[in-house]
Parts: sequence; structure tokens; C-alpha cells
Amino acid sequence: MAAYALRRLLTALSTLLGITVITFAVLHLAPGDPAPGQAVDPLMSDPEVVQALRDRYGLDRPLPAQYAGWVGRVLRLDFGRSLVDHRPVRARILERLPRTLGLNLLALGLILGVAVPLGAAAAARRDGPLDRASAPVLYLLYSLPSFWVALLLQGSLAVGLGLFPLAGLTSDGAAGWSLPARAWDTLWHAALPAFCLAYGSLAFFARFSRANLLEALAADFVRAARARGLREGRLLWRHALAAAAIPFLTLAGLMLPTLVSGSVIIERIFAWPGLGSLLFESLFTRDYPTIMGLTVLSSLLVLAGTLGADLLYLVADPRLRRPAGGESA
Amino acid sequence: MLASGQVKLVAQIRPAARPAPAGRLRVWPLARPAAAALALLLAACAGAPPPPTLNAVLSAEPASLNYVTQNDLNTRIVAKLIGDSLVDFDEELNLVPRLASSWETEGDGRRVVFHLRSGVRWHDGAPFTAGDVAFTLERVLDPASLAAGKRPYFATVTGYSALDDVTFQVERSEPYARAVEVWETLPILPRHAYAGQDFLEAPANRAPVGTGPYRLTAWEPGSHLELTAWEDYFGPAPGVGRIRFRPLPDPATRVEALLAGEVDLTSLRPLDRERIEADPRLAGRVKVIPQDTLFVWYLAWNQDGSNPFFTDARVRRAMTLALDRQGFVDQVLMGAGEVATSLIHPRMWAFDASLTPWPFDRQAAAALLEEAGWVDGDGDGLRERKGQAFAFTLLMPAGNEEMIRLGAMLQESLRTLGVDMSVRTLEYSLYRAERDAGRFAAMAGGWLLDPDPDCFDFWHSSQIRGVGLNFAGYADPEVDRPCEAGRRTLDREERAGLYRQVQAILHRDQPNTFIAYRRTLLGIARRLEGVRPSPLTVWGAYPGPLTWSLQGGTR
Repeated sequence: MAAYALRRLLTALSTLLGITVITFAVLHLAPGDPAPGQAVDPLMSDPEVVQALRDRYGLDRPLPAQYAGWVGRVLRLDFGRSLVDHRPVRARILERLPRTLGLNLLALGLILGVAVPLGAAAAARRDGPLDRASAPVLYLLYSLPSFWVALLLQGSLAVGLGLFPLAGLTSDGAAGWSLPARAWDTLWHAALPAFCLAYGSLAFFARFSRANLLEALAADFVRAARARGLREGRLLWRHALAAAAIPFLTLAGLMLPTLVSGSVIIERIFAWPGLGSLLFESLFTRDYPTIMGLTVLSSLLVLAGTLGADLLYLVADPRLRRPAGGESA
Repeated sequence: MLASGQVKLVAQIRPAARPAPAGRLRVWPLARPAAAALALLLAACAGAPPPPTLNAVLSAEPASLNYVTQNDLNTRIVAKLIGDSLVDFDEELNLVPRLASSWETEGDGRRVVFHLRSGVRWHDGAPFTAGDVAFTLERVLDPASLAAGKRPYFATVTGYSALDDVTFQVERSEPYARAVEVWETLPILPRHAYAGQDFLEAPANRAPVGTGPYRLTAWEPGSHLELTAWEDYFGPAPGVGRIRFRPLPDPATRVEALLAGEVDLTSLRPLDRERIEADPRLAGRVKVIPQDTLFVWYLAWNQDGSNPFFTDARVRRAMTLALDRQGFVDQVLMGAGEVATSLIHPRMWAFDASLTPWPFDRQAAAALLEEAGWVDGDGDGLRERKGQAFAFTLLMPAGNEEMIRLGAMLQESLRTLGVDMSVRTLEYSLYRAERDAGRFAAMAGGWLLDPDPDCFDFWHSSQIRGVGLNFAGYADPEVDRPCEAGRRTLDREERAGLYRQVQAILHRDQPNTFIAYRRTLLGIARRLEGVRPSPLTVWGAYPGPLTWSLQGGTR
């Protein structure tokens, strides 16, 4: 088992290395120069300034040497400095990580908290009124473009009724408030963007959990339990749901990377300063170190998600645990 | 001369949070916890209510407030409130004193002596001296500061020195008409705050110390910057006690924020005007005023010989005649613009009002094309000359809705003239690379002009190909001469005459098709008073924002 885990880990590490090599090469070989400080356009390409920038960040060295230097620093958790504001990339990412993470966790909570009960209720009364009514609504939600919904919500709930702030992270003056007040304020600001991030997946997850539950409800153990005289409610919420949870958790595990990838569109519309907008800005200014830092972060999570799934299979499937011919661990 | 940026400025006033109206509590369950939290908040900050706040909005957060290194529009807006330049422009583009109380020039700008205000202090209490001016200029001139946006203005500086604490002298290798006014671009940095620091990484870049009317009192990265009026400012006392800048990258969100009452001031999109004027509730809260900008759209025709079309001035003029520029202003800009004749704006003193823009006249265009030898001999609907069909590609930056529609208009019009134009849109930095390398037959672009008519960088033959802004590769000694002379004298009458010559030749030669000057629509909350439009934007003039006030109490 240890050998299997080690093999998976080594595969994951070499994949990470491969991702960074390719990203690094593509970034540096792509046309266009970094343009620090000139968010719009450098007035003229001043050769002396271009050279000074290259000297400062060693952009003239051969690519393999630049890459080796970058890897060496990353191993010491130094992601270099941004070419745009010259601050450490790690600080820039850490500053925004909690915002994207928090927003996405909220969205994920919303998805699971609504989708699972809804799917279960629909499955319990298959072709019942709820099931019939929810299906078209969910398909509709699934197909609505989020930028459009975002603008609609802004126009109606924020501008029209004034129930939510239009955009941003905090209210004016929030820095002086008590902790619970500040927490509520942030939650209040996160509500609309979190909903916009959630509703599409929510629809998908509700249908997904309904399908899985229906499958579980048709299984033999459910028939057996029913024969033993278990009440329908307990049967559904305890036994069938537990059985349906396995594919569900796998899917949720694969969503791990999306927790930090941030949605550029939603972050822009709601002026939510997270990692999505950071990546967007960095790509436009060719801020290589920041792009690389974000690449490492999201690749790490993708790999951690896959690795986690692999190791979970290990737990679930005894055949994988056994080294060829050996006894089970 | 900053390129096609869009100054999207917005501002707002708002109480600490928007209390949900009491009547809605029963209807909207969400309002109940909100109200509970509000009670908590109000209790928490009852001790010190924030002063009336102008909530301003930026299109992006400044990466740093080191205004030598940073040259984007958002940084400039904030920089001019925290820092002070030696001189500045008022709303009408007149030069006014700021940190310098007076100045003398010699040899047409070869030497300038600035007399600085005495008794000025930095926000941290240290005295401001001519040494700070010398430090700032030294930083601009050092390539390691990466001050690409400022260096061209100071490229000919050969020497500078602080003669005493309040006297600063600059010398240049040659006369320069703009020797004084270019100091407008450069808010002065404090030498002592950068002592012993790496200039690009110094903490002062995120916690700037200025001499200006506002101090930076909070910066929550990505969320907002808060500026508070500084009591000891030497100039006019700001009428607004506190400004909160929020970066709102999405233009639609900025407008919604204005309409929601979260924002005082933003530029509107053409359609927003109708929406506001149609709704009495919105119109009662927001007024709309047009504002000229120094932004101009143009098409550059590459005449470096790499294509057989545009070396001929008749062909270029035919292109101008084929484009319905008034139609572009009316339909695409919805009236928020003015057909252009050159890169000298009607609001500049050197503008030649006697030139009438070429009309939209496809017959005249066809006649010119035929005169130049481009005829459809084989009847395939496409003009050709010496076996070469008139087919070319227009290069333009991606994501610019107005330019895309312009391209479509021109394409359609040229098709009827037997000219096949295709459009190539590229992401901005790729577009820039192609443009600077001259790899295009025609390109669409936009520039934010400097307030001075000096157009050496645009038209002088030395400014072709990556050196300057003469993207079209236009070279004419008749234009080179007045362009050179125009920047070597301080005499305004003489300069006006020289630039009239330039404008007349450009009008005849059409190295570019000058499309239109942009006019923006400003949406201003009625609570904000004293805002006067200016071609430099409402933030760009001095004392400009210092004269604004918020209805219902200031400070």
C-alpha cells in the first residue's frame, strides 16, 4: 500500500514539474513584453528601461537557467517578485487567497446545502409535484449565463431594492467595527457573488444527487430494509443517502481546485478582489512571476484532488491495497 | 500621450451602510438580520461617525503609489491628490503654480529656475526642499526606476541642481517649449522616505508621504483606498473631507453603483444617458454632463513602402472620404464625440478652426482611387493596379467595441468602392508589438493626447518604427521642419503659426485618418457640487477636486 501511495505521489510531483515547465516556456516564448507600471501602454518602448527591467529580473538569461533559478527559489517557498508592483508574489497571492477561498466555500456550502436536500426530496417522490416542478427550473438555472444573472441581481436587489451592496468587499468605515459586525458585513457583500457562482452547479448537483439517490433506492439493500419494515423517511435520509454519497464526494473532491481558481467574470462584476482577477490582470501585464505562482497553486490543488481521490479508492477497493501476491495490509 | 486608456472615474457618497428601509422588514426576511447587524454596527461606531465621504471609483487599483514608476491613469488620479507637482493645469489647460510659486526660463527652455514655496511640509512633518525635487528628477532619469512614462519629457536634461532650499534649476541640451509644463506630470517624492531603500520596493510606495491636499489613511488591497484631507495643506483647503476610492473594473458595475447612490461620479456609456433621463427618480439624483477629452481615434495608413496602397496621398484621402465619420459619432458614439481633423484638439490654443473635416463622399473617393490607378479592369468587383488587387488588413486591438464597429463600417463602405478590407484583432500587447514593428498595412488606434500641441513624436520622420509614435511611417521634410521648430520656442504666437502649417499639410496628406475626439458623459450625483468638466478629466485639473463639496455639510 505504501508503495502504491509513493508511486502515485511521484507521478503527481513529476506532473507538477511538467506543468510548470510548459507554463514557464509558453509564457516566456509568447510575444509581448512585460509592461510594469504602464497598465495602459508604455508611452514608447524606451530601450534603456526595457533593459533595466530585464537586468533586474534576469529576463535576459537563457530560459533553462531562468527556470532552474525559479525552481530553486520556489523550493524555498520564494515565488519571486511581481514585475508590476515589485512586491513578493507570495504576499500578493496570500492577500487574495482568503477572499476567493471564502467566496467559493460559501458557494460550495450553498450548492451542497440546497442541492442535496432538493435532490433527495425530488427522488423520494419521483414524478411527484416537486420533482416535476424542479426539473425545468433547474435546467433553466443551469443554462442561464452567470454574467447576465449577476447584472440582473445587481439591478434588482442592489440598485432597485437596496437589499445588498452592489459590489466590493466591505462597507465604508467597516474597519472600525466589531468583529461580528465586520463578519456580517463581509457575508452581506459576498451573498450575491456567491449565489452567482453557485446556482449553475446547484442545478447540476441537485439533478446529480437525485439520479444517485434513485439508483440507491432501487438497490437490493433498500428493498431488504423496506421488507424489514423501515420507515420511508429513515430509509431515504439515512441509508440511501449514505450510499449515494460516495460518487458525490468524489465529484466534490474534484471541485477542490475550483475553490481557488476564482471566476474572473464574477469577480470583476462584483469587484471582488480575488485570485481570478489577479490572474486576469497578471496575464495582461505579462507578470510572469505572479502567473507562475498562481499556476503552481492551482496545479497543486488539482494534483492534491486527484491524489486524494486515488488514495480514497485505495481505502474503498481492497484489491488495490494488495501488492502482487502479498497479503492485504 | 498615454495610449488608449479609458479614464473611468467615478465617485460616490454613501452613509456607513445602506439601512434597509423599515417598511420592508416584514416583506424581506433578509432585511431582518441586516437590520440587526446594522444596529450592532451603529453601536460599534457611534463614537466617531466618519466625515462626509466622497466615494470615488477607479477602473483598476494602482499597483503602487510611486508616481515616478507608475504611469497609469488611476495612479495619476490618486497621486495628484497625495502629492504635488511643481506646476499644474487648470480646467482650461492654463498652466498654474503648485509647489513652485514662480519660475524663469532662459534660452527657450534651455534653462529653467523654479522658485519653490517655502514652509511646505511633508505629511510626516519633514520640511519640503529643492533637494526633494532633485531626488525625484534623479529617479526619473535613472533607467532602473523603470519610469518609461516620464523619461521622454526629461530626455534632454543635462544638469539640475538645488541652488538653495527653495530654488531649483534644470538645464537642457536644447530649447524645449514644454520645459516648464512637463513638470505637471511629476508629483514630487520625498527623498527622506526613500533613503537607503530599493526605489521599487520601498514601503513608501504603498504608504506614500506627500505634500498634497490629502493623506492616504487606509489602503485595503483590492478593496479601497481612503484619503483624508490634510489640515496643513499650503494650497486651498479641500472642500471634501474624505475620499474613498474603490476599484470597480467593470464599466456596467460603475454605472449601476452611481444609480444605486453608492457612487457620486462616473463616466457613462452613451445609452445610460437615456436611461437616466427617462427615469425621474434617477434624474433627480444624478445629473449628466458632457465632457471633452483629449482622446482621439485614428486609422494609420502604413506608407513605409511595405504595401502598394498607402504611399499615395490620394489613396489615403480616398480612405478618409470613404469613412462616414459623422455616422460613427452619431451611431456608435451616440453623439458623444466630434469629427477630428488632426491630433491637435479643438480645445488647444494651436487648433486651426479654418480646416473643415473631409466629408463622407464615396464618389470623390472613387474618383481619387481611379486617379491613383486603382481601377476594376476585370470586372470582378475589386479594384486592381498592375495585377495587384486592392485588398488589405486593418489591425486593431481586441475588446474595443467602438473600434470593432468602426472597422465594420469602413469594411462595408470600402466594399462598395471595390476595396477588400479584412480586420485582424489582437490582444493588446500583441497589437502593440505588431504596431511598433510596422507589421500592418492599416491600423486603428486611439491616443490620449497631452495638453500641448507638440506633435513631434507623431509626425517627425525620426519617430518612425518603435522610436516614437509615427506608426504610419510618415516622412515629409515640410512637416519635420515646423515640428522641430515648434518645440524649440516658447513663443506661443510663433508656435501657433508653425502648428497651423502642420495641420494644413496633414489635412492634405492624410497620413492618418483622424476619426473623432471622444466626448465622455459624466454622471454626477446631485449631492456633489462644484465639479467642472475639463479635457484633462475632472480629476486632472488643479485645484479641480479641491473645490468640490458635498451637499449637507463638508469636512
